[in-house]
Amino acid sequence: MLDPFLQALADILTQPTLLALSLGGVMLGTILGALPGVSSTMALAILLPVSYPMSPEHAMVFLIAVFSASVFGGSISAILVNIPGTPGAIVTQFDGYPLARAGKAGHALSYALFASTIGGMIGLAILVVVAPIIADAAMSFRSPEFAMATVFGLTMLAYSSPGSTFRGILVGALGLLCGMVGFDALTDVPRFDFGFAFLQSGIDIVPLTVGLFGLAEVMRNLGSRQAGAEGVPAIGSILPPWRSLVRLTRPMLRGSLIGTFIGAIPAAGSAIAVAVAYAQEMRLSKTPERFGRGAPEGIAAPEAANNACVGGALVPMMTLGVPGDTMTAVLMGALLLHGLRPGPLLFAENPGFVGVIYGGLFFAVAATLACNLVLIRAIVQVMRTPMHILMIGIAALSVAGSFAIRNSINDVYIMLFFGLVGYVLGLLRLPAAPMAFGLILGPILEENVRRALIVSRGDWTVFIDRPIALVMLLLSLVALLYPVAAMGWRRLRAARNGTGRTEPLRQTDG
Amino acid sequence: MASPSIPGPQSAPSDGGAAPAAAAAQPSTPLRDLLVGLFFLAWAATGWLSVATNEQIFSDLYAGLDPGPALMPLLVLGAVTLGAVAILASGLVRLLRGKAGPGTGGGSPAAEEGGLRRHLVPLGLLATLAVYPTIMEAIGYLAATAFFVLGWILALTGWRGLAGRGERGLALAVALVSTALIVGILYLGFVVVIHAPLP
Amino acid sequence: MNRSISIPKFVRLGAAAAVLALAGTMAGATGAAAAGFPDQAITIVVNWPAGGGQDTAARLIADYVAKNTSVPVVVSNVTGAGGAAGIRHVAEAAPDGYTIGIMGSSFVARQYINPNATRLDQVEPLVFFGPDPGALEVRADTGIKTVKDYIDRLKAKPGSITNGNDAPGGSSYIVAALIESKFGVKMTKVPYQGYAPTVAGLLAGEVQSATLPVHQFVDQYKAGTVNILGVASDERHFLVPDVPTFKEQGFDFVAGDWRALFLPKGVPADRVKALEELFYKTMSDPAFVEAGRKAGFVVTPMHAKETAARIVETDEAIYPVLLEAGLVKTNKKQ
Repeated sequence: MLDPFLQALADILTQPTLLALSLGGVMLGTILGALPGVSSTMALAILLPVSYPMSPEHAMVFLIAVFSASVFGGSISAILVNIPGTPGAIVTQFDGYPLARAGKAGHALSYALFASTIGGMIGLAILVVVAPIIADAAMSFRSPEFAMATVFGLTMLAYSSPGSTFRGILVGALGLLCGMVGFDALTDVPRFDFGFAFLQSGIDIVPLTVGLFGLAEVMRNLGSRQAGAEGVPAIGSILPPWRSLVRLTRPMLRGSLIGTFIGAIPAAGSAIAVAVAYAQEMRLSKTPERFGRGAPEGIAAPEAANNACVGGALVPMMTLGVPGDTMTAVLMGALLLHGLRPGPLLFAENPGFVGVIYGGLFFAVAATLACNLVLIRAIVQVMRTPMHILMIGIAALSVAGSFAIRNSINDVYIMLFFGLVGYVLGLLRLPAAPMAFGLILGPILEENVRRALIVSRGDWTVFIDRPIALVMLLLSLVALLYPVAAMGWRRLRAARNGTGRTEPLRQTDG
Repeated sequence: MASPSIPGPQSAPSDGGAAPAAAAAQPSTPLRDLLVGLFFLAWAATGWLSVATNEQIFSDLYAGLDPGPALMPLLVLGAVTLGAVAILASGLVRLLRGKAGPGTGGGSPAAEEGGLRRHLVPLGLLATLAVYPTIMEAIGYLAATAFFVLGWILALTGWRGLAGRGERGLALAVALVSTALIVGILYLGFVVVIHAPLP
Repeated sequence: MNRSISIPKFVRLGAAAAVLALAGTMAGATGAAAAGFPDQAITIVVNWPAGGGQDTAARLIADYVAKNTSVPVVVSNVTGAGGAAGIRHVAEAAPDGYTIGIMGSSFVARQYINPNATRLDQVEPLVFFGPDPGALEVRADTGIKTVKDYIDRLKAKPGSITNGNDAPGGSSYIVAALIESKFGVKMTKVPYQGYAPTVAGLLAGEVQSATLPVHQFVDQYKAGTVNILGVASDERHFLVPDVPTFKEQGFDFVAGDWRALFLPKGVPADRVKALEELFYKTMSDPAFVEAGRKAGFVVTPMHAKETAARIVETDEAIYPVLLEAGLVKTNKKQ
């Protein structure tokens, strides 16, 4: 597999057209990914027609560059304005945005960039070396496993969100309810539509996140401004010191591995991967209270996972011809238009072309790093904009972005509603992120639970009969019970020392 | 999160820093517990209302092998309701206890954050955003957005702090240029590049 | 302090960028110019997300129609409500001919299942794109090799085979339901959200059979892990020419999806005519047919009248099936 890969890489580096296409794809992907309301899938779909006249090799190098760069692009808006450009970047903003507000936007972006690069490279390396093995494992996933993987992802999220885990879970439950709005996936029965036709379309993740994070943050800022807390954050140094990057090696590696393997499970997507990567770092950290306030590990691990998912998502497409998510579905559509059908036969019949895909991805990851190292300096200038102007700009952007995802004005109203919800959540000191994840994962969970029951003919033991499902269920239980046990332990110790907090009803904020 | 002085990664959280962050680290006040409980209860009530008026949703409950579209809503609504009641109850208990023994009860969230007046601007923004799509359909995306952005930037500029014509002129120039910039970028990004059919 | 330093730089940078942005805007606005119809961009609304079959077909059309018209043709995805949102968007669009929709056979089923869905009489068929014939696939390890084996197995033990298909009303669900009613058998129908998850379900062994169009399984068929038992159309499918049709195996059974362009009701007749000719010409182009084949589409363009007839045909075939399955919840026929 290595020869065609190196050959393709050499082609890209020596052919000016290929080089230009890849670089152009990286630039376009970064920009489109950074626009809220333009998901990676949309970025690909928009640029797909551009690739029609190209040769299959050129088209693939270009589209893969767009795909890979748009994933990093999503974290730019997450860090700078607290709106995830793509849903996979939601976790990146937990720590990226506080860091940027503290005047370290450059550092936050750099952590994200280096983590993206490492994640992308590791995802690719695993794709090249062990794609068939992962594909086998991913294909042993049936509905019970999907359902339990989702439960695991949700638990990890509730566990890692700031404040009380109990309240985090309740907010997540609200997200689940929001995910049920619209047609039931299995029977087409409308639910929670309150008689409105537009609610039958369901609540899309983009208006929800844009409102919950972006608009709510704008509202909070305008509120505190009036109270007299105004300030233009300083930008400070752009690049973080080398040693702080070196210190992030382990989180990046862990995130990358989590991303590749979870990204390979069809339909599970990057949402679970980033949640698991973040929770993992928080649990391993000696100072978990820094998370949510600008912890570099909190940016590096999920960002690495998010980008490693690119390689992971390509695994089922390349080996089985089954797209793992909507992005790979568009890529596969592009290949089909050129008469190439990804799948087991592509490796046998056209190894050179497989090499082009791998080489294209490798170069795109490297080019994303190079281009953005230069660009970061320009990008962070956004933070120099006077606060009130930036906030109004974000408000206008929120409207355009939530409209663009489905070209529907109703989504703008949905976004405004969740802006209000996000604002209220902030006043009540409740975390907002579980709601977004509830919305993403809820439908996957419900669909798979019910499908598993149809296949098992109503037997609920199906979730503990299958080993992988059982392991994930147990892991979720451990994650849920661990904080309770830890709190009990802390309470005990505090009582013994007499120095602990007197009211340990909540976990520390972090 | 709103304040610029978020403690850096090196500083311990107990160093305080921004008011909201510090407040979040403190245990919840009984009054806030009540509000949180009511918040969740409101969601649950809305949900129950919808489920109760939805006839189709129950028709398939365990009709075949599929447990049906009502199963998950019932489970989740039940959980939210129980959780809301639990939080309400704990808030009530603590509130009553707080009255008995002074010192444990906290101030109301409104008071601790500077009165209800501070919500005026955010809610005003929300209100203008709510009419913005209608205006957009009437006079077009470009004009409506320019109007919205310029209006708000001018409204938010701290005129009183600026002395003399020079500074005010500069502020006006800044407002105009940033409006053109914001509208231009949005138009380029969404209309020219991705062909979003904005009105 | 910080602010007084930053403002002048901000203004200078901003002014330059604003000029650039406005220049770009102007260039975009003056691009379209031509007399008569069409003189502005035409939008094809796809009711499914980017990357699906409907989307691929629409983008292919948009790409090739550029040969025959000077106005840009853009694709816009209006998704949600199981495809009903995009259809409604077109039906409610201004009837000026600049908004066109693409529909599949699920449109026909949806109007009986969802009270809010657009009805057939609210839209105007334009041009037929082509059929996407249904087929029956099984995992090779089931040992089933022909349609007869499959039917026999189900007759011997009703419900013993789990079949992966769409949610009720989707085209692969209809194919499965038609097989059941036509041959008097009963399978366990397991719903999936779209084709790719169904394929994954079959490969993972969660279901034993599927009723998807053949292009989803070409590779697995060639690799020998999936048997394609039969194609539910009059002719064999060009992607797998060695797979016989149901008819060849003695079962008179034709079913499956199709795609067609449509307009909202009320577009002036001359504009309908102009669009019909424009798209018919585009889809008849041998280069287009070839490009479609590469993507796995059978392209057989038809004019508006024939398209309408084809839709009525589908309606008559699937209504009884939906009625029997208890899925007719609205627009009940007398």
